[in-house]
Amino acid sequence: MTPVLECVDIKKSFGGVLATQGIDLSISEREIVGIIGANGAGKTTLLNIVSGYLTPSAGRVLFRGADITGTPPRVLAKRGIARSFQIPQLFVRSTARENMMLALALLCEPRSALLRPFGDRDLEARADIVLKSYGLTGHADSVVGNLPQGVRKLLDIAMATCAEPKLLLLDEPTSGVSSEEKHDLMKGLAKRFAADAMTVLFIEHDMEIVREYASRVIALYDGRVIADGMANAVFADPEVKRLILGTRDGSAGHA
Amino acid sequence: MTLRKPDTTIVVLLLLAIGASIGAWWIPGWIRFISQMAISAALASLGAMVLLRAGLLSFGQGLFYFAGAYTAALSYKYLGLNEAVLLILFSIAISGGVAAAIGFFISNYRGIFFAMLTLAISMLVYGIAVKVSLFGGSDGLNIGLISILGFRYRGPDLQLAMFLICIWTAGLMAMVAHLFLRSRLGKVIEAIEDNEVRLEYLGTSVRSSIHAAYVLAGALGGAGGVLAALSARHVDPGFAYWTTAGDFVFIVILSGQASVLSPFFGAFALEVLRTFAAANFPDAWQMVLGTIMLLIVLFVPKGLGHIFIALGARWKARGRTVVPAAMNEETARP
Repeated sequence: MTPVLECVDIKKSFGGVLATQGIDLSISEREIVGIIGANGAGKTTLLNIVSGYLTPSAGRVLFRGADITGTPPRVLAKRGIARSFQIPQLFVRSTARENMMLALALLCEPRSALLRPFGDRDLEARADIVLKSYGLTGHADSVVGNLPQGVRKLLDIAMATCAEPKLLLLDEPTSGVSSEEKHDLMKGLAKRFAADAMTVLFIEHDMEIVREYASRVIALYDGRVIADGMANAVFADPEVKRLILGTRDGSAGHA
Repeated sequence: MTLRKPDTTIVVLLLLAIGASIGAWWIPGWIRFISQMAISAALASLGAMVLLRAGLLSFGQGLFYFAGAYTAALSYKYLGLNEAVLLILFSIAISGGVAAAIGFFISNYRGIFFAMLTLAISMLVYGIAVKVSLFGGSDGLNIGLISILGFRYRGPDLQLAMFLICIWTAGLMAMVAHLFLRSRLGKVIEAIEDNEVRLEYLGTSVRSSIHAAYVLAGALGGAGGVLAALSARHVDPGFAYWTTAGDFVFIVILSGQASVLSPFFGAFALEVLRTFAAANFPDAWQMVLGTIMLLIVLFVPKGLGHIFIALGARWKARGRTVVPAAMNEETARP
């Protein structure tokens, strides 16, 4: 079966710095893949390349067998690649409901619908359904700029998933979410991934979350994949222990 | 089936246009003329407002004001076109076309770069218009006798007919702008100022959206220009000069950008203000305008039009008790 996502020898340099130096990976349908790695390992760069925000200096990205290298996000969004952000990217002067309405109107409907009125009852009702499923009903009328960070984060993810993407990229879904709410959030998301048969790639720093929710883990270090496999196997890998897990509890020194 | 609630803005626009049409017979000629000039400026300002919704400050609306006015004057002089309605349609189309062409380039820019480039293009055209004899040089061009819907009116009848044409052209253009702003694309335009990255990730081209808004702004500027040209029967390169565009920006700041009605209110307010200031402080009227601008920016930053919104909200909330708000405050206390 064709993998949903395939990266072939992806390289990206910013000036003289190599952010990723030859990443190869292949992700099959319905996999929930966690990406771990220290700051600067190239995790977000990888997400930026896969979602089309950056064009790799070398290498190819294939989405369900088709070459999408360098295709801009606005095209990929319509083809079924959605993405959430480490820092929520929202329309802060609008209400949560309006944010969701805009997401639904733009992602789920053809360009010709752009000239239809925005304040549409049907669109509003559909936005409310999505907001409700994420437990955001109470915030629907709040202007996003006044919402707490955790709620914004959830809204950001909700907007990414509202059109049932084939491939979902999440950049640190639980950062900025309080530790007691993290598991509830991930539990809810996991249920949705399963129900909508989504393939997910998520970056995460909380190893407990990765262990529990990822069906597979990819460890990045210095722009390279150093381990790829089941969570337990990757966490047991001596290199991962030394380079990624070690630095997190502070026992290892800085390179 | 329930009947859809009519759009308030469209209803107000229609009532204003009908009211002005009926009242036209009793309004003195000089007030009608001032109104026509205010309406023309309001249309160009409306274009600036559309762009400001996307966070783009245009100092180049004068360019389209110029394009609309000169399309009419040149068509009259060289093509022998003398039907007002045709001139208006033609001018709006040409201005929109000019905006469509410039839009390919200008839609890449934001912030100060956008403001300065719109200004630069406009001044470039001003510089050319002053020199080129085809455009009548710095004297500009006159527009002679025109017919309105085939009728060749003379004297007061022509003035009255022209007033009605202005009112209804402006009314229709304002409705088009309103339909645009309340559409999903209109919401995209607003969202551009907030977050371009998210819009791209929602499958929308920010550039194309700005391009569309720019074409609408161009068409509105052109509509203002042609109405000003047909009202004054004269055009000059000053239409493209930066102070003309500055007036349009002033109007938007004065009125705010809450609704398509705002620039009309702003344009009339500016006209009244200017008349009042010039009559009472003949040597210092610009200082009066400047002071008022300063006070508005300091105390009513959303513009005078916002006062109507606040009044409207209070009107809607009438009858409701104030107790819930007070209770909310109580419960919110830690």
